[in-house]
Amino acid sequence: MRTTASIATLIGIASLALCPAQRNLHDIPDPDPQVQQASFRLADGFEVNLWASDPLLAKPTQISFDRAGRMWVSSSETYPQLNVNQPPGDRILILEDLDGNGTAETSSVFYDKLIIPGGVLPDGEGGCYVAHSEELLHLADTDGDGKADQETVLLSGFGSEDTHHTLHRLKWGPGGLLYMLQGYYIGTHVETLYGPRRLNGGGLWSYDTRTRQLEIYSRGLVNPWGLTFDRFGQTFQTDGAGGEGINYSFPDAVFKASPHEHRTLSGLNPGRPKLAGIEVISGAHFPEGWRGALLTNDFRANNIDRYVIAEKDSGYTSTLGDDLLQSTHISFRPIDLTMGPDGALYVADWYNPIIQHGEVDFRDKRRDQVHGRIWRITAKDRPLAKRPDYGKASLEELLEMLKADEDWMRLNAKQELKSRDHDTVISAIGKALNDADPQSPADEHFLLELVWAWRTASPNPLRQGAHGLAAAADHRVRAAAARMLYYWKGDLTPFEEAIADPHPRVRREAVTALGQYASQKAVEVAMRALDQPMDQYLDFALWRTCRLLEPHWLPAFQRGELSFGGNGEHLRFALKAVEKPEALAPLVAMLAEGKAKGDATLVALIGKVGTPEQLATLVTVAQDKGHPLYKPAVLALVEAAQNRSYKPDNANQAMAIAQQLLGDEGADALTVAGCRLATAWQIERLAATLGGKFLHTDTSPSVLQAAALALADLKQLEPLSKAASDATSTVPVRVAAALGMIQSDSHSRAAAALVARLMAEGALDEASLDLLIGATLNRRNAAKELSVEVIDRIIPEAMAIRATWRVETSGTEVPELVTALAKAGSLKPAPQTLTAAQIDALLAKVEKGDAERGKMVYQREALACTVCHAIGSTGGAIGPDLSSIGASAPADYLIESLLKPSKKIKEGYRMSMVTMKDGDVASGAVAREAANVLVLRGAFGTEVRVPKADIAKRETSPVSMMPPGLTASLREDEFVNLITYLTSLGKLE
Amino acid sequence: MHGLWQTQRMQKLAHCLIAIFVAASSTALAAPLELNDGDRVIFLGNSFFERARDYGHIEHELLGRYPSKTITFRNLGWDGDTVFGHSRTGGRRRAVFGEPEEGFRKMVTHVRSLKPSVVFVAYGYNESFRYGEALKPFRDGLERLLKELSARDNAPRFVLLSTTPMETSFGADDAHVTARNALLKSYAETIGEVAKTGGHAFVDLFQPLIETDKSYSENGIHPSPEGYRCIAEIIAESLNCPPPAFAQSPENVREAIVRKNTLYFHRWRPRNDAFVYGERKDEQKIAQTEPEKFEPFIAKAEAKIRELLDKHTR
Repeated sequence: MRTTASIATLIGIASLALCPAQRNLHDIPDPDPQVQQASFRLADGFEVNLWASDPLLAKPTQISFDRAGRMWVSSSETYPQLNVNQPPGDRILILEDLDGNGTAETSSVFYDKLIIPGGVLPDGEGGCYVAHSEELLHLADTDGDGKADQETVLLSGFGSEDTHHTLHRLKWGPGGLLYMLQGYYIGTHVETLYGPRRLNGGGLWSYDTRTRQLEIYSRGLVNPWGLTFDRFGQTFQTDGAGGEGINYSFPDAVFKASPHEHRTLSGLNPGRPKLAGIEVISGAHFPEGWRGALLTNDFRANNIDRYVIAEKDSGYTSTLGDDLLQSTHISFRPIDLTMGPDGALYVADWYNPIIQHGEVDFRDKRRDQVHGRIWRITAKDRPLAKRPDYGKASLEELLEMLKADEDWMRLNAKQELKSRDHDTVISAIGKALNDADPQSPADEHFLLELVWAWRTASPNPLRQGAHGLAAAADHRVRAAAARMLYYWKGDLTPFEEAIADPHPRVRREAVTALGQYASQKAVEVAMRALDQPMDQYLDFALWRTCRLLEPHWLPAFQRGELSFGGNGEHLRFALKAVEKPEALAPLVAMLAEGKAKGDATLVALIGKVGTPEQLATLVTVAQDKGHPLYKPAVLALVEAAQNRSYKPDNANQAMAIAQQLLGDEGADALTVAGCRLATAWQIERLAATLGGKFLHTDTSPSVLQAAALALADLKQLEPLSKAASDATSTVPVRVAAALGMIQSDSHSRAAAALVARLMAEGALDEASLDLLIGATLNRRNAAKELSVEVIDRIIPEAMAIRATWRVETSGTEVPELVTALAKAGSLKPAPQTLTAAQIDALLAKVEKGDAERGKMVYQREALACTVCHAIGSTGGAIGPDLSSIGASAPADYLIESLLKPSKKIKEGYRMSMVTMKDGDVASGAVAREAANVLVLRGAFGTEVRVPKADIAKRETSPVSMMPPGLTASLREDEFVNLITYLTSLGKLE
Repeated sequence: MHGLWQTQRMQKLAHCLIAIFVAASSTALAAPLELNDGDRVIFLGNSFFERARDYGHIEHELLGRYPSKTITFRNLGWDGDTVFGHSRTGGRRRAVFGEPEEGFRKMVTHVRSLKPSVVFVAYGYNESFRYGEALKPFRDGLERLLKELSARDNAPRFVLLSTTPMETSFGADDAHVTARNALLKSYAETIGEVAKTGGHAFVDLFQPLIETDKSYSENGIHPSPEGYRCIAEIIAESLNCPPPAFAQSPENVREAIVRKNTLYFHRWRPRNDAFVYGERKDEQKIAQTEPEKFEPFIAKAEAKIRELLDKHTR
């Protein structure tokens, strides 16, 4: 009690000092911990107490207990960015609850010369490891005074491009490796004894402190800030910038946002919000029903969530259970959580109304840089866990602790063993392995812990066969045994059983481990996984292993020395996994011989990477309309023709294919493919056929448009001019004609006149208008010509508004067209600037606004919010998802974003502008990018494919895809309610 | 050392190995290098130079050989880098994350913008893993780099540093170290040949460092502070620099050097690159004005080095 009072006094002083600076800020909650605590709603049977608060600590980034029960805290008041000429001053703190009353009394500074450390892990010997910007540091206290006096850079070269993506979250794995994470914007290049290790984008690293071996465990995730191991050593990650909840990971797994990786695994809870930290509940203090579940922080909504996982196939399912804690306090930012030595849950509260550094300026005064909390959650009326003295425990006692239910106790015991005499420890573990009964199910997990203890304590592999884990009754233990082979290798004998194991996870572990065996035999063994049912994780692991081992089997296969025992399915999987023309060759031969009749994915792959010779096989198929692979072959040829400029050697065959497609009246997709091939292969003789499409009244718009573009490309504009000037032409015909004519310098003026006429007639639906405006903007002079044609006409207001949006969201600035549309559509100007005082007044109203009415405003079609933004599962994907925008963005930021969308553009939503070699331009967000093609996603969701070979220049636009003035038509009360609604999103009801 | 505000490493106690090294270095391939008033020296390379930034010994040693001349140094080392600029690509445009040629161009542009008169080049370690016994890609890459950096008027003089050996008892097994050293030796020799062919100065660090029975490194591959001190002497001796002006090199000069290095590092490679220069630029405005604000502080730090040298020479 005494301590709490003195802390409260100090906080009072701190708040007073801050008051003047905060007077002008909005929505800054009272930093009094009691106010914060009053906002907490816990699950039944739990209570929360303040374990430590500022000034004992500020801005924690990771909390980690040592074996003596002291909490190590990495903290950063410098985040998000060091000031010019600012000395490094971020700290590693040690907090301790000396009297065991459930609150910390002391805090000491272990080190204070750091810049934004992302994590800390005590080494158990008085020092610690620190994730420190570009480095993994080891800090030692050689004289025992509780302060670091020796700083060693263990690894350097981690990227620093984004200070909340830099190296963070240090954890010991069950087998003694040190794990750490990095986020998407980071490019890492570390020199190690075993060669450089490079990782662009997010990922999970493992580091062996004895051998100094650094490896990538898994790749991807946007900004993973959570990692935990279950009782059997399986890994689960959470993503602080992703939206798929719990991610089940394993060695060589790849998740979203990994650059240049086109195949990735999904998380277990798609659509869930961003999460930080993750911990498995273990030990007897938490009630039975909670044990084994995963706790993680929905830091934007100020909640601590519980996910319940269950085994499925080789992986897991994850279900959101009842929350452990909910809060309405917007500065409560739980970012890390860990089970403590007493069996309670400890939560690090970053304490900040502003979450990270994207939304507001680095130097924004609302950033809290002084507070920080540790909350302790306990189960009411349940005994706390016993706290063994690891340092004084005998070897036998330490080994006995490996049977504990508490995950941290087993981990601590292993770490303690690591610090004891190597030879003595190894012989004791060896003896315990001998004494344990591999036939006893009760001993299986203990045996596994002994093997992990060995691995933690010794750099030497345990002799193969020294443990009987591969024969365990529990498949989770067998899976862990197969994982050992990943690290210890040895010969391939154990895989004979593992690859045929009845449980898919054991087979998946075997497949993954085989990826580490540099041999042809390894891939042959791995392929046997195909003899039993596959699932997404197994399929991914096998695909990855095939690719990792490619240098060890593909040459042998090409020399005819590898046949996969004549198993066609094994062969086909391996060859397709490699995705290289040389591997495709035998498959193409099978196709040519008619042995791969149903394999449409193979045909698509040939279109993507096949050589001209291999594509020639498709040319044969594409001439045989009755062939079961006719359609995939045609589409593959279009892909190769458009993106890789492929053209058949034999012009007659090319002609025959395209002609046949164009004659195919029944299937628009095939006719469109014919138009595209006619263009890509420049078949002028088909002009008449293409022109003929305009004579039939029942030709579909998609065919008309493809035909028009083909004619324009072939410079045969006569049929288009004719259709344009024919008064009896239907609207779709005129739209298509205009589309084609816009592409031609000599006809673009006539096209502009036609577009203006169509607009004035009110004849265009939204899709056609978007199409024509889009095409106009992509041609250098077409927009100016359209301005001239539009300005003296009268066009319907709705059409003028939509056309204006289309222009304003294109990334190209064409003021004369905007002016012309405003005049023609009688649009009112929309002046939308607010003074600071006006914003303040507005914010006061927003507090009292009506979110329900705001929701109705949001859903109005005229505002088009839902066209681009999603809330929950509905809405577009062009702008950022707004599902929890209220939890992450302050109200004044939302106002600014609505009025001036270009001022702050969310990452990933910036527009790229591409100028082609022929002067045309295309714009949009980069949806995908491959080696030879760029796919841009435009403001209205349309995708444009641009062959890279045609690109002359690439730029990013300073203009947001969201047009300004969207809310110009609203009354103030409607605008206020809209903001109120947006700020409510992601918060508790 | 604790009181320093910059990223000054806490150091273990020094046990100088210089006697061994100086003796050994007399066998090294020597080519003279005279530094002149107004010289701008650049350190370009992998972790060898990146890590040297926080220690400053090489610059310290060279200044001690020419205390009355005004010579400025810029350290452009980057961990894990190669003669192709593999580490310099950065995440500036998400879709092309990691295309080496972009990094190479950035490196060449940066070096040229500093108008160097002398460039020290230390590469080869990472390339030895990529190309193994095929030395030609490395040799070609090194020669291309030197050519690109000489492509303008006032081509700089080059000093090529050899690779350094790997040491045992840092976690890797002995067989691995032996095999790597055989390879690293051939890379050292290749660098020597490139220097000879191009008429550049060359310092062989491999031979003297592998011949001593003392450890020069702190992790098996990267020099310890003491290692850097000795390497600095080998470099100065190999290049036939004048004898040291000070019997005991003034430590405060080295501290001033480290301070200047730290400031220049923040100027050149500010954290949050994604916001300052890259993909997330539009989310921040203030951040982009900050790197330039380091310039006056760098100038001041540079003046401090000058001032201290003058004081000690007097």
